[in-house]
Amino acid sequence: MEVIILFSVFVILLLVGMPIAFALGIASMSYLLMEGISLTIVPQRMYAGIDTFVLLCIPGFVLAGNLMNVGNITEYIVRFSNALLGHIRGGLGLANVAGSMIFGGISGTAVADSASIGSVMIPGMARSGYDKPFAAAVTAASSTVGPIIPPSVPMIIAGSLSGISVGRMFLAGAVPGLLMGLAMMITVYVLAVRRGYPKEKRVPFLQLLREAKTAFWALLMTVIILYGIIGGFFTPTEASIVACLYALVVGMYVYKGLTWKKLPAILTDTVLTSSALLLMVGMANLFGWILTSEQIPQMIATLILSISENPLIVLLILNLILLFVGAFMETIAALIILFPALVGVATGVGVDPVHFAVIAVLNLMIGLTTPPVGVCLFVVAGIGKLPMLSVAKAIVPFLLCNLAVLLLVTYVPAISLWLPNLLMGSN
Amino acid sequence: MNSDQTAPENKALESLDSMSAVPRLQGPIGRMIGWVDTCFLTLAVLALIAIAVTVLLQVCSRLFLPFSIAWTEELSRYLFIYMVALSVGVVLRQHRNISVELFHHQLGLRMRAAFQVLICLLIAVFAFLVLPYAWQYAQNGTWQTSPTLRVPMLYIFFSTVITFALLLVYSVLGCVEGLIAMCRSSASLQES
Repeated sequence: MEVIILFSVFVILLLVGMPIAFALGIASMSYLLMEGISLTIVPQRMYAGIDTFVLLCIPGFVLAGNLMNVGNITEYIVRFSNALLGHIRGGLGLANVAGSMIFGGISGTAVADSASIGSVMIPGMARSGYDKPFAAAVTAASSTVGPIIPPSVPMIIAGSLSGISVGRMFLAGAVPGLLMGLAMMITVYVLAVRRGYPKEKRVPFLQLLREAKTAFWALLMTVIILYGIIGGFFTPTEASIVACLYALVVGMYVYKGLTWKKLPAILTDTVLTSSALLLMVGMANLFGWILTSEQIPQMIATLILSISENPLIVLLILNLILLFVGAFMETIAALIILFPALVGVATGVGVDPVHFAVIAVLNLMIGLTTPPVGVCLFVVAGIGKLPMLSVAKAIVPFLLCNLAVLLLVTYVPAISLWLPNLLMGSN
Repeated sequence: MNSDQTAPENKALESLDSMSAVPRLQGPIGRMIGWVDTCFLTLAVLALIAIAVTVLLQVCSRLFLPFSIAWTEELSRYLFIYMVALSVGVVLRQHRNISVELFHHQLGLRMRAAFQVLICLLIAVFAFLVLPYAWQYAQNGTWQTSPTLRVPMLYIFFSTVITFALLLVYSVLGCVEGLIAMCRSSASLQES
């Protein structure tokens, strides 16, 4: 009974527009009051949720992304991917996807990715003769690749929740991320041929080389992070701070868009973004504690396993749950509340936790572009000044394409596990 | 060029947040609140910088020095906790919390203000009820010290008191601003 109230309070608060952190906190408090449990649990669980060294890489990666972003990096990335792919039919669409993939190695969140790439690409594509909803849809869909390609904030959270090494998680996301990008490029190409989208002039090879040289520094950051973590030089947290230092130097001396004057605004934004996230992490930890003490995870597990014990079917059910939740919930909050429960079910039928974490993040990312509440859709509709419905229609082919990739990643574990096992040894 | 680009991108992100339409307090009180905001933000930013320095020190000591420093991990964690605690108020005031907004962008200014009042009121009640327990929780730390730095945990757990106190103050502020906006808009009729 109390659990039903816990969930109803939570859902009602969300619908009213309560920030997720407080919806979690207030729902938990109402449960604690009904059960007569002391509210000391609230600060205690909140503190315990934030007090983790791994989570320190969240402000680190956010800062690194912000530092990179201010130095005109988006423009360089877009110019490079245009030069690389523009001459193919639907080239700007392809470049949009490629740009998101490169950008994904810098920022850890899809919303930032949609906003940055979208503000350059959507007007640009519209000017070249693409229809605007298509341009917006490509941007939204491709931005979800960002958090699958390392570094990735959701992967960090999933790692910290399940005790899997974050380095392993990052590597596991790499191939599925590339695959998803490739699949979306194919979708763009097919649509472009059908609808007769334009191609750009091929750029001379020397210019391509010049553009590659500017984009190289952005790519190098991803390499440093991954190499540092896998090579055992840094922990993920240390890697995030080293990445900040790198971004600072590159932004100031290579791209030259970054000045000391801009630093306070960047730092402030980083603090606000990460604090909002971490407050939510803390409150979700409280909420999760209640779920565990009410044995909800076990109940979910028994329920799912009572339907079937066939791993293929269990994975399908887990996917459906995650897709549904992902369409309505914020990624991080959904992970903290659901992941510990569901990963237990998955490992119970013999699925590797790293593999399952990739599946979970992929699902939640697809949720970001699923109408009606996909956040990325709102962002691109806002940038393109488009009605939501037109973007929602245009995103359908990309949703189908991403779902196909999701199925592939779900049922072929090697796609996610091959790279981490190769570089870090099998568990 | 750069400012041209960031403008639509920021606007798009702001339009996501329909609550930012509710006007803030102006005049001397508004300025004073702005000054307090800056104070807390500056402290939080200093904590962030200190985290970066501490973690870099940790990397350097492990890679380049013959010994590694034990206390850096702990210090950076505590700085991190304080960074979050010190900035929760401003996060609330600048509407940086993540929320699901289904219909708010279609509402008029007056309804938005009403929703802000409702939400902030609930947060205020939440913070008010939890605050004494946060104090109690901090007190538990009086007799504990942290493993390597030997700081009494009271000071660290005290971050939760700061968190809920700031939430209380800033949510009450949000309430007041919402109420003022409601009164104003009913006086000057349909402005948005």
